[in-house]
Amino acid sequence: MNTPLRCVVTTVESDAHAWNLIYLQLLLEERGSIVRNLGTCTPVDLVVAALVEERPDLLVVSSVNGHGHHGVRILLRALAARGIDVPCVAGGKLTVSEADDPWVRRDLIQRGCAEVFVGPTAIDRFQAFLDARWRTGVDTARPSVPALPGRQTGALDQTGVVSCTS
Amino acid sequence: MPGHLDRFVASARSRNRLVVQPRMGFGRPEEMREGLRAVAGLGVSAVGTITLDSHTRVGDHTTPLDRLAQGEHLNGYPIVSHPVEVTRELLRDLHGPAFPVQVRHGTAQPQQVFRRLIEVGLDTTEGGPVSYCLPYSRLPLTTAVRAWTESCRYLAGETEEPHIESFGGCLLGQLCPPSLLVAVTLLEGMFFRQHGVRNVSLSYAQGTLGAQDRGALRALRELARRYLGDDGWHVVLYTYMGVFPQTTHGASALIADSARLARQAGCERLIVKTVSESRQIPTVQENLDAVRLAVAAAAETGSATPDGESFQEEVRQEAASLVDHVLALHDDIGRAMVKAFAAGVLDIPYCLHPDNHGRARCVIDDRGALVWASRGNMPLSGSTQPGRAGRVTARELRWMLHHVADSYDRTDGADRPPLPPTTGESHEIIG
Ligand code: B12
Repeated sequence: MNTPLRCVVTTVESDAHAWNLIYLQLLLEERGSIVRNLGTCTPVDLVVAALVEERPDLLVVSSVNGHGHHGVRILLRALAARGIDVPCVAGGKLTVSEADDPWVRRDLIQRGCAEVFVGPTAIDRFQAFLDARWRTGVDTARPSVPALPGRQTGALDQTGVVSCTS
Repeated sequence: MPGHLDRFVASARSRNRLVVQPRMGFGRPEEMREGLRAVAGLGVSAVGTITLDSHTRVGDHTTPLDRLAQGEHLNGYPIVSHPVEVTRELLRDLHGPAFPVQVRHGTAQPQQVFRRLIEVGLDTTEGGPVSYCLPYSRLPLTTAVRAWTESCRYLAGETEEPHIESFGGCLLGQLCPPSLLVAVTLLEGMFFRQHGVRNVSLSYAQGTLGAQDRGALRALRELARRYLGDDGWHVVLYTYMGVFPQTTHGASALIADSARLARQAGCERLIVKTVSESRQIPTVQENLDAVRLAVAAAAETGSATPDGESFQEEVRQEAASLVDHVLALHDDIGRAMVKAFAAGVLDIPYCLHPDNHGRARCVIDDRGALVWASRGNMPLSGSTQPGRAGRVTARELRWMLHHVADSYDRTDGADRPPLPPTTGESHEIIG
């Protein structure tokens, strides 16, 4: 039996763009994942709190305003400092220049991202990444990323998916 | 005095010229000055812009200088972080009657930004308690309303002829029916007036269909006269604020069309995008090219014979209904707007902010117009698009978001891409 992949979708503190988050949420949900979307302008502490609470299988950070590289570095540092070991992927437009994409991707992977998706094929590569890792369920194919201890198995509250409504 | 922007716009209007303005912001003072200098030097009716970076927008004034010191680049100019003298020097011999400079910032709590813009000798800015909160911040709407009340009064007290442009005509930049944009910008204009800022501009973001935009812009002018009187306001059009074409020809055609739209609908000012919009922060040169392109397209366009009357009628009715319902909630317009959002009398489609009801949905119909798929609790009559109310798939959302860009990216720019086949299961985004 496949357990649905549980994701927290977030951005970085200075980023107000929402359409990317809405789109990623729908995409993941249509793949059968359970998503908690933290909304825009997410402070590091809020992301940390959500991770502690949800213990998701995957943290998805999306940023397009050009400050994502900076914001993801700060987030990764905070996760490391608090011993939170959830696999994290990032993507979008992470600096103010497309020419930065290759080195920024390498830099963030080196700093702990499981994968970084930039450029026109980002979504296709993200789907392929998800397929490769979670095709047959959550826990089968993650040698490099140890599971969190004491993960709850219950489904997340679907109404809490987006920060706003009942 | 000064009040440069209003006099500049009035003078251009009397000469039947469209004022064109780039959206431009760089982190380093030298770059920012260079950009402003180049725009001022174009010799066209242009207004200068200092767009602030997004750390500043969320109230973080230490990170910008740290990052600049490390050689990193910001998405705008951190006006609060740079010392007053640095920004004064940047503006020296540039900002003036012949080249007014406006600060565009996206902050829900603008006190520090306002203080700083006065310190550096400016009196013109942008925003609003709704339009700079719900799309830009997680802060409660009441906090933004308080902050904007205080800031407007402060600006009105410290400068003689301040000007604030409402960002209400943009909101999330795309997929919002025009009537809500018109209602919010009018309400914010009245809010600024109520707190002592007399000169305002009302905004409107180019949508998905020319006839609808022309109708909506005429309705906006009619209603502006009704709610704000005959003077002390002008209309500013924003070149399409959603997902932008990727090709140079597509982006250029869209920018040129926005300039034509501005002329056809009698807008006084246009804020342009650039050919880099879909990808990254534009260079100074790209900003200059966009301004020139818009000026040229505007010059060859006269005011049009009115079309889109049915759109005009619909926007006039819907926007007036929204405005009147909100005004009836409280004499203080700020409080009235807070109550309105709490009750869903105003409801921004797809907006994730906790204070937004999140029941309204917008789709693009067969004509290519922006229409309600769900009106939530808003006091609007009319039927809902059959079969699509409130539900949208990732694929449909992507199609709608890319509708304008895709049409302009096609070589002929003529036909619209077909609607995507509906996929099996739909998910509600919110609630
Ligand atoms: C709409 C919009 C806005 C709206 C946002 C409303 C809202 N609250 O959502 C408004 C007008 C408010 C706005 C404001 C600003 N914006 Co803006 N905005 C856009 C615009 C036009 C469209 C974005 C959009 O809706 N895309 C639709 C979604 C579905 O696509 P997407 O965001 O590109 O994401 C796709 C991919 O990137 C990818 N992806 C993204 N994240 C991830 C993550 C993962 C894991 C994966 C796999 C893939 C992935 O998948 C998505 C689907 O294909 C873009 C330019 C454009 N694209 O045309 C600029 C743009 C993103 N904005 C930009 C900027 C800088 C700003 C401002 C700072 C103002 C300024 N200085 O110009 C402010 C930001 C305020 C802030 N605090 O962040 C820049 C960013 C520059 C850069 N990165 O180099 C852009 C690119 C415009 C530009 N060229 O200058 N913006």
